[in-house]
Amino acid sequence: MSWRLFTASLAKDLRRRLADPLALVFWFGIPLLVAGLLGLVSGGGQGPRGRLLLADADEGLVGFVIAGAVRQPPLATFFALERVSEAEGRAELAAGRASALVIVPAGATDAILNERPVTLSLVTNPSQRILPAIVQEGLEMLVEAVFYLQRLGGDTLALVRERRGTRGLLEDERVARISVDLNQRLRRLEPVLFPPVLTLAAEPAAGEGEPAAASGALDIGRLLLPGVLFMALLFVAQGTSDDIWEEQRQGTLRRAVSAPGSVLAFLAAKLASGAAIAAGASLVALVAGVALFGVPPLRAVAAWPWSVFGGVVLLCLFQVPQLVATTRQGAGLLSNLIVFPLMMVGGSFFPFEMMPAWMARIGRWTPNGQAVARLKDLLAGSADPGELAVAVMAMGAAAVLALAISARLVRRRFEVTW
Amino acid sequence: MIDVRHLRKQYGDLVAVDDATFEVRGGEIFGLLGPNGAGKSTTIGCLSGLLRPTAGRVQILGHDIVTDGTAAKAHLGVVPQELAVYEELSARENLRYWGGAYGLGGSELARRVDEVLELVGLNDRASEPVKRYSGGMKRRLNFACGIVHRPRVLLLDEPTVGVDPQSRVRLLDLVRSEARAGNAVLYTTHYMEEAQQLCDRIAIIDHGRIMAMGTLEELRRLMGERDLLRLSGHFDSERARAALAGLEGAEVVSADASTLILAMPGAWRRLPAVFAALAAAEADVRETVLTQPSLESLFIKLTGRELRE
Repeated sequence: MSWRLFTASLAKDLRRRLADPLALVFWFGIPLLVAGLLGLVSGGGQGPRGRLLLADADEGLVGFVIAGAVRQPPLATFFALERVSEAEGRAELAAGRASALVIVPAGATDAILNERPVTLSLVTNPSQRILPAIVQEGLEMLVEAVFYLQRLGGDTLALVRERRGTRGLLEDERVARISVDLNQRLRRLEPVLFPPVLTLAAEPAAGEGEPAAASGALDIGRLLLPGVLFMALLFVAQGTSDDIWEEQRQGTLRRAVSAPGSVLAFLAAKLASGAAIAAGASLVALVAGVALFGVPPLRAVAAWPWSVFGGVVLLCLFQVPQLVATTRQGAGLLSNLIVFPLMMVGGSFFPFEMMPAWMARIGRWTPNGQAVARLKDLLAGSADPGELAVAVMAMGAAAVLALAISARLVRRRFEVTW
Repeated sequence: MIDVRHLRKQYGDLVAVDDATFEVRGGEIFGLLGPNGAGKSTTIGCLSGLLRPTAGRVQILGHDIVTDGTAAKAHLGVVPQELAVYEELSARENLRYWGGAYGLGGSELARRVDEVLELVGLNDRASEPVKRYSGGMKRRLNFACGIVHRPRVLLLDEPTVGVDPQSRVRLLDLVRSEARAGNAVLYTTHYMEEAQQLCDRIAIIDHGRIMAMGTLEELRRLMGERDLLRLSGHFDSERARAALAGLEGAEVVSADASTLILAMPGAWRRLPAVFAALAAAEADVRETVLTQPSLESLFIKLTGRELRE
């Protein structure tokens, strides 16, 4: 490769990019634009919703409280609640069509009112990570609340229990007694040492899907940010790879191929200038992640080089369809045919957590899916160095191969278009 | 400086260049004259290393363009037929890029860019984006990009197509000055007058084959003192040929149902005899054009068609 041609071409391509500042603003603004649009599509800035199934064999207070909690914010933001039988719920989970199943056993309400231990079961979708964790965390808070209620007002609850089975309202005297009783108990509030009578047992569902790695903080930014970032980089890759047609239209590609340096140097410079745009777009997205979604800054810093690397790989890959096509329109159509399915299955339109297990499994093996998955790990602070190294090698090899094919296609181009 | 031996370029069944052999010396302007589609641009493509010859050999200052392409290309300056400049960049940025791509750098590059801008008359608008330039200015910049790295061999592919007369004169002067500097210039054109004015030697090319080659005088001699007579109307070509065979010194260059082309000395004096012979062959002559010996008449004699067809 001719270093001189590379540096001259890189400087030239950067100047050409800078000559069109509006396009640069557009490239850098894509992540924000896409995030905004996704927010609107999913309900005014809220994230995508999962299905939460409730199998309530008790049909009493516990199921009522759980349903009430899920139908209130913040859980209502993430879930649509459906009541099902336990068998139906397990079948839905096994097919990957729901995020979690909460099982309330028969007699749960009586057990709580009579201070007997009872266990709620939470069955989660193993191919999803964020949404089941949100359910688990929400239910654990609920269980704790019930426990403290038990400790604080066990006798008071007994007053309520005494009325069960009779119709009508509590007498005024009993209501007054309950109020006074609660007031005195609150005054005597002390650390509670007794074990809870209500516990939550969580288990992943048997069936399809790989177990998800442990997740860190749960927020909508972490759920959407990696996909949105790589959606932006896919657009950058698609848009900047079209520049080879602009070079051909202006006649400069032919002149460049007549120059003594190698075509590889010319293309590599084009990729390097595209990488600068990818770096800018990634930076904007990650800064937005830090500022808006609470992504830890150090994790964002670690994620930046990976994002740029992923962007460069996509640039290399998208150069090939541009050069395979014989017309600019054909190239545009071909790259659209590639970019949209990649976005759909590669975790950009929908997080893997929201996909059927089979689709998520395929999606994680697409180039952008792999990049999204590893970026998610980096942002969650759970990146496995081995996994990251394998991804770097596989994606790097694909990029080098694509670049070599592109150089060959450029050289052959004039054999048919002269 | 340019040495082409038995060059052939074939696309499937189509032979674009067929057994072309010529050489261009330093300080010489060598013209490739032919109509559109004759194979001129394909020849330039093979010489510039863009196209791989099917057969034959091309050497630039002794370097084979296929096996020693980098060294050969380093001496080449190419001015393609279509514009090849970055419209979003300025003339200075374009020249800096192409100079850098050919290995110039630092103060040498800056000096040469200024020099070339002065040479092509663009120094006063050197910092403007090229998209604001007129067609003639873009053509001059296109030429400048081909010479910025001081090539020893210049390949010019119809550089004056679509250029206003003022810019054309300027471009032709620039080409002459390149030759005066000792560089070899290969110049393709389909403008007869341009070839006559500019070129030291000319090769007439059609259907990929070099039909004739030499100085202008040598080519005129090939035509002899014969005029060219072009007749339009309705002809039985075989009867017309037979009827004209009896006229002394007359040669039928081409004949079909509507056009007959004759080469003969003193044709203007012998028109009655020609018409009488054709009348005997029941030909219906509607139009007659008589051309005295020229490059154009030679081209017609060699190819059977006009240069602009």
